[in-house]
Amino acid sequence: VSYAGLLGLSALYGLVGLSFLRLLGLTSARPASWLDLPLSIVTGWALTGVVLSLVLIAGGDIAAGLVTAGALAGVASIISWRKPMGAWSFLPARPSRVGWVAGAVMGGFLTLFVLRGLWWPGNFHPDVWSFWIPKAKAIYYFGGLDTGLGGFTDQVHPDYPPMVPAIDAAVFTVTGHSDPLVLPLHYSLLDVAFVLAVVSILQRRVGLDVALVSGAVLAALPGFIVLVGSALGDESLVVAATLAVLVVCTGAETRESRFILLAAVFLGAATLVKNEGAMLSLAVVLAAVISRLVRGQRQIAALAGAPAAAFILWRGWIRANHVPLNPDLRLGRLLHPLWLVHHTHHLRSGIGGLLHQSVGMQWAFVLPVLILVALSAGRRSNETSRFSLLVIGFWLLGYAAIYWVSIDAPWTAVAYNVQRVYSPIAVTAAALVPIVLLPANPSDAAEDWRSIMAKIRRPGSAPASRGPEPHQAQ
Amino acid sequence: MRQAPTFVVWLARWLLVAVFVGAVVVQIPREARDLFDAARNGQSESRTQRLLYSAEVGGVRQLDVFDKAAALIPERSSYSVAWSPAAYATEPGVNTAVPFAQYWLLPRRRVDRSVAWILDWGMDPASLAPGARRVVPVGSHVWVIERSGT
Repeated sequence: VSYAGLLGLSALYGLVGLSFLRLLGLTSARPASWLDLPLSIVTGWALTGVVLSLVLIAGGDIAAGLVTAGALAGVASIISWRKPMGAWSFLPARPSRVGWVAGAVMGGFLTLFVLRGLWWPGNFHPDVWSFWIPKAKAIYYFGGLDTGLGGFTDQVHPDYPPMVPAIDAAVFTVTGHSDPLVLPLHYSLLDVAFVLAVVSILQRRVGLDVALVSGAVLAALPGFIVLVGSALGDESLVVAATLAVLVVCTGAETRESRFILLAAVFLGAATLVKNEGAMLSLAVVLAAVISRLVRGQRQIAALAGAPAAAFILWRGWIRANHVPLNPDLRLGRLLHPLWLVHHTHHLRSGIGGLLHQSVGMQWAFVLPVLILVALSAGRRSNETSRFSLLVIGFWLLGYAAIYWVSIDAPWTAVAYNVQRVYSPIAVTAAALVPIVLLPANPSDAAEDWRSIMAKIRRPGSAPASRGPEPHQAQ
Repeated sequence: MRQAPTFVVWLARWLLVAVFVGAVVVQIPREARDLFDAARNGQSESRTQRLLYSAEVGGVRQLDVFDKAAALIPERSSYSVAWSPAAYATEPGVNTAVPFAQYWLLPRRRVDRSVAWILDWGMDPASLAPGARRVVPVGSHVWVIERSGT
């Protein structure tokens, strides 16, 4: 196994991501913070995946896609050569003792992720060997999206978007052969970068200590661990969807379009990862608009543009190549009231199954969601809280709608995939908890504490408020 | 104007978060042990065992069929798969074996029409491909058949 090739691909992700972040003014050429590096890697993974998918859709192969991604990174680097460092990039403060302990727990789990990825015991989910890897092999061996017998579209779920097989095929290309045992290591490394990227984003908003505790909780969350290194499409969906929501949340408070562009990249990637990604992306855009976290036509267009373009291009390719859509799952049925009335048992089974499976057995999936909803409901006047509630609510409604229009026996469908369905929701909810819990301005938390202590000592009295905050109305 | 939360609200928020963090912390030893065990198991197994583990879990007994078939069918060829319920007698995991073969044998293209090669679970080769050029047993009641005149 050529691990050098895998390291080279990770370096390409880092280069692509760093040049894009620099172009947006979100980091410097030499990252000011070591935490900028994992954020660059996951951003680069998303961008590379989008570029590979678009090149494949245009008729190219993986080598052409990798060269294109590298060339775009080079151009972006040249354009942003002398661009001043963005205000978002700064050296984090040294963590306290709590931060060190949390960091050690997180580091321990991330190390275990890599070790398990390196010595993956081979327990691939049936979806991985029955269609994710065969699709990747078809791209790798047949030079692109082959529509012939045994090719890309002759596998199970031919209408699924191509990003995950494209990334897998890129791994095969850089390692020199189609070894499926390399994929868990690749995805484990991506997950390590993802957890650190979440810490990187959170620490700009809630401070390094809280971000490290959140990172440790996320790394140890069973609802996340179940996907780490699995090479399932859901694993990539968790990474793309969670980061999109986090960037919208933390960045949009400053009302700067560059954060919207970064979030749009992750939404575009989510749309190209799985069919459900389009639903998740649409929900994020709707929630951001309704909660007024994203305002103005330009910002809305920027956020919605990437996933919309990705969706239209992929659907166009499917139509042009006469690829049949999944007959079991037609969202158009949502527009047929009679069909919906006759299939309300699907909806009941879907929602009932989700509740039973998750509340009854899988606390790790539902608890973060419940905690987030409870916290957000108490802060409805806060834009971020409203956004969090709407995103989680829309995602749950979206999955319920998918179960409703599916012609599969609902209970079978829910039992087969409820864990994976819940994972993006649970992981995103867990990542959002510190943002909803803590005020945007760190000094507000200290003021809350002083105010509460004053009330306890002298009921009825409280220190005078410092007045309205320009960025946070509560 | 920003208002500080009441003590009850403040306490409730942090209690909720404490429940969440506590629930995860309680799981840490088990999750860490599971991850470590998985890595150790993977390290102690051969590469072939790891590659075939999914088929084994799917109930396939004759795991060496896939490698033997790959050695016989050329990489640039097409093949079809035939199987009959009689295969269950010697291969109870035939439902997994058939799609697993498709995954394993790529870049050989699996097609559903008559082509040069057949991977056969349980059907009589003589009736399936009369006058075949080669019939190679790759397992118990599993054959790779090369048709004649192709």
